[in-house]
Amino acid sequence: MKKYKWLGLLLASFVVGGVISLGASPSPDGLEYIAGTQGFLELGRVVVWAPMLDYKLFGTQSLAGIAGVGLVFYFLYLIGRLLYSPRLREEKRG
Amino acid sequence: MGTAMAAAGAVAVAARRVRSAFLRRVAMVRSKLVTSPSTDGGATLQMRNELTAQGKEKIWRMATIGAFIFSAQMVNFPIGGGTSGHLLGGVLAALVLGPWEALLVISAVLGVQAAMFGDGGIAVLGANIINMGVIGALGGYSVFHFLTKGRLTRHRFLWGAGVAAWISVVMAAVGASLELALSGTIALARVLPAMVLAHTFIGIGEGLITVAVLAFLLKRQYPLMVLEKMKEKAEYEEI
Repeated sequence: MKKYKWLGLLLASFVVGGVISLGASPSPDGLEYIAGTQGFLELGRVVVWAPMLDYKLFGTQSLAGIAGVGLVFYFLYLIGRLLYSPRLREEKRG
Repeated sequence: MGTAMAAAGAVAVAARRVRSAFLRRVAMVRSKLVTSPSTDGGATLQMRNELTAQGKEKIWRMATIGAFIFSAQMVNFPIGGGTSGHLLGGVLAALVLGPWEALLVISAVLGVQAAMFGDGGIAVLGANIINMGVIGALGGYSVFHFLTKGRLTRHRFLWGAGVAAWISVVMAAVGASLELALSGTIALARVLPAMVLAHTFIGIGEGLITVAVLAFLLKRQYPLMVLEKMKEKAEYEEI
C-alpha cells in the first residue's frame, strides 16, 4: 500500500522538527535581517498571543517542533479528506 | 487587505481545481468499471475501493509533504553576513503533489505557523501566501515547465527542479519587495536590491535541498505527480 511509503517521510519530519531544528542558525532570516537593517522591523512587530509563540512549548523547541509537525499533518489530512472523498453529491442524497 | 483577499481567492480556486480533478478521475474510473463490470456484481464496491485507495494515498502524500515542509522551515541555514535562510518548499511541493495542491499545502503550513506559533502573523498571512504559495509554488512550477520542455530524463528533472526552486525564491523576494513598497513601508529602490541579493543566496540553499529531497524520493520510488503525468504522456525517460 503506497500510503505506508509516506509514513517514513512523516517520521523523518518529526526528527527534523524535533531534533535537527535545534541546530538551526540563530541568525535572522533574509526578510527579518533586511527589515532590521532598513529600519522597518518595528513596523511589522505586533504583539500577539500564540500557543507556541517563538516555537516554544513548555519552554522547549523540540516539543514545539514535534507538535507543529503533528498539527500540520492532521490539518492537511482533514483538508485532504474533504478534497479526495470519492463520495459524490448524488450518492450522498441516495 | 488586498493581499488577504487575493490569497483567499487563490486558495479557493486551488481547492476547487483539486476537487474537480479528483471528480474527473472518479468519472473516469466509473466509466471504466461500468464497461467491464466484475463477474461477482461488485462493480460499485470495486470502484469505491479503488477510489478510496487512490484518495487515501493522495491525502497521505499531501499531509506528509506539508509536515515535512513545516519541519524543514524550522531549520535555518546560515548564508553569511549575519543572516540565514530556510526552505520555502513551493517547487518541492508542486513537483510531488501538483501546483494547486502545493498552493493549498503551503497555505496550510503558513496558517499553522501564524496561528499556533505567531510566526509571520495573521496580518501578513495573505502576503505570505501570495509570495510563497502563488509565486513560489505556482510560479516555480511554471518555471520548471519552461526549463524542462520536451523529453525529460532524471538528470534534467533534478536540474530543472533545482534551478526552478532557486528562481522561485528570488521571484518571491521581488514579490515581497513590491508589496512592501506598495504598502508605503519602504521605497522600492531601497528594499528591492537588498532583498534580491540576500535571496539569491538563500535560493541556492532552496535549490540544493529541493534536489536532495527529490533525488531521495526518486531513488526510493516515491510517486511524484509531475513524473506520473509525464510518464502518461511518454515524456519521461527513466535513466
